[in-house]
Amino acid sequence: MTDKPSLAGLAPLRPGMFRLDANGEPTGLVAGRCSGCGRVTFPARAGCPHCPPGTPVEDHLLSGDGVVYAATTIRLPSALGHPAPYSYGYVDLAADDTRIFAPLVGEKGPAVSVGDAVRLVFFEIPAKAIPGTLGYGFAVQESRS
Amino acid sequence: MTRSAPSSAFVAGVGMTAFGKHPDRSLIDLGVEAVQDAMADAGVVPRDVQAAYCGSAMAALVQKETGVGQSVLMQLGMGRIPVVNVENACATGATALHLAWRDVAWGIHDVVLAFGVDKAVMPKGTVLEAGIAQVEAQLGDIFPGTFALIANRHMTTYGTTPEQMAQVSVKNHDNGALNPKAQFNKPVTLDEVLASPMIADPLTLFSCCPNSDGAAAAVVCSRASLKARSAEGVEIAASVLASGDYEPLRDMTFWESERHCARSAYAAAGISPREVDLVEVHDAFTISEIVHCETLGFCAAGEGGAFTASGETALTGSIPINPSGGLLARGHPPGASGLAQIYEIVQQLRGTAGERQIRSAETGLAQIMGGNKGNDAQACAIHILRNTVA
Ligand SMILES: [Zn+2]
Repeated sequence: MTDKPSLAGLAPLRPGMFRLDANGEPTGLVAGRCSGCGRVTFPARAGCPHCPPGTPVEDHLLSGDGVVYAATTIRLPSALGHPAPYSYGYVDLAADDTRIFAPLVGEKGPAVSVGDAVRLVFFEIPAKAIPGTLGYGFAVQESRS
Repeated sequence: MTRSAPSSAFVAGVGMTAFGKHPDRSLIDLGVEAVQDAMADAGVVPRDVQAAYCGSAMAALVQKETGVGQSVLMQLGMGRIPVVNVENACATGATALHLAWRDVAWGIHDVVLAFGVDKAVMPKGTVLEAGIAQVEAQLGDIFPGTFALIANRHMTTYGTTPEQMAQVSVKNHDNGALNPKAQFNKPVTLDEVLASPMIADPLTLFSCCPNSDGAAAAVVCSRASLKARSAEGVEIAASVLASGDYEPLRDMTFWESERHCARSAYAAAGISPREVDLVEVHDAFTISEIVHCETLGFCAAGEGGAFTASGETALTGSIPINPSGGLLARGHPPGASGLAQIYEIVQQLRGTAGERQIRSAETGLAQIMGGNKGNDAQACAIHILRNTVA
């Protein structure tokens, strides 16, 4: 195992989106959970359409284990300068009963498929236009044979 | 609940520029041409127009230009009236029409102008920076990718194939070849669509609509206004604008905003999908048309690919979709596309669509949607137009 580079100095993609440890390293994603019905949204929304106005939305730490619901691989750089190829999609988080948008990383490159088991990872977003930004993604878990 | 409109509103005239590349013409110039055409077609003069809605999705972003509506109308000597500039992503033009419809159907005005204009062809080496402030975009999301995810789910759930999706592009390019206003006037083959460069798996370059320059306009009138001028119009039987519910766990083989919008539109018009003779939909990407075909009720969920491949949606099929060539071949200036759909439907209902004419077309439906929001669209608009005795 090699030491991972520190992510502590990066600016979060959105304020409050990340749970940080004592050293400022990201350890989790913070979603919103409606205190009325328990619905989880990420990024956290201000209110819940199913509950009375003013029902508090509380911080909720998302689980780090998911399953790919939909995936695509982009073959040209984005307007913000994400280098191609790269993948993203939606990940089902069973423990949180929600689904979130996420960059996806395959075992050997960008290839990711529906149904793949993936785990939360953190990295500096590789987009030229927004340097120094802390992002997240989900990576296919290494197979141990 | 939304109340139903107390009176009918009619499209009395339409106009549009050719869509494509207009490097030497300004936004304003394009807007002026479309508005003049529509007013001449409707037989109205500047003093008849009581309000105007101008759609532009890109002007503020690309040309750094605001107040496009007033700039166009000033050229035509039209002042004093209320002018509202509208932005609703790719549904911008349809949103302008919806607002004009509201004014007339609810008895506020008798003659209202809706127009839309954009110059979205980007200079070489630059890309369109739409929506880049959103979290998803900052994580890498681009428009083709969003639709690629829908395609990915549709293929996984229903077994839709790349060939079926490519057939949408082939059909719409065939139709575009018959449309003198279309950006692309050349057919493409299934192999060419499939072999064009991959943009976002499984969508290739020829599976994506172009960014285009162009303008389109419509004049909306009350029954009284038509009578006073002994003019004719096509009735707006339904005009519905909706956003999504943005439920995180919804099924991504379709757009919830569109399903909601379609139900409301059919209810407002008092018809079923069987009574629609032709359709213009938001085929920004090939998969979109397949999904719209299902959600609008022309075939069952999951059967849009096979339905398209069977030829049912071609000009000669049971339910022609995108006779104009759609966004894929007519081109896509986002502010104008929703009104270009109305232009096509009005030509078809009048029987003036030339080589593209669909026999005994009495009822047409236009669907367009815009922008990504959560896992749905920001906006979806549906208009149903029909020939009625005014
Ligand atoms: Zn709730």
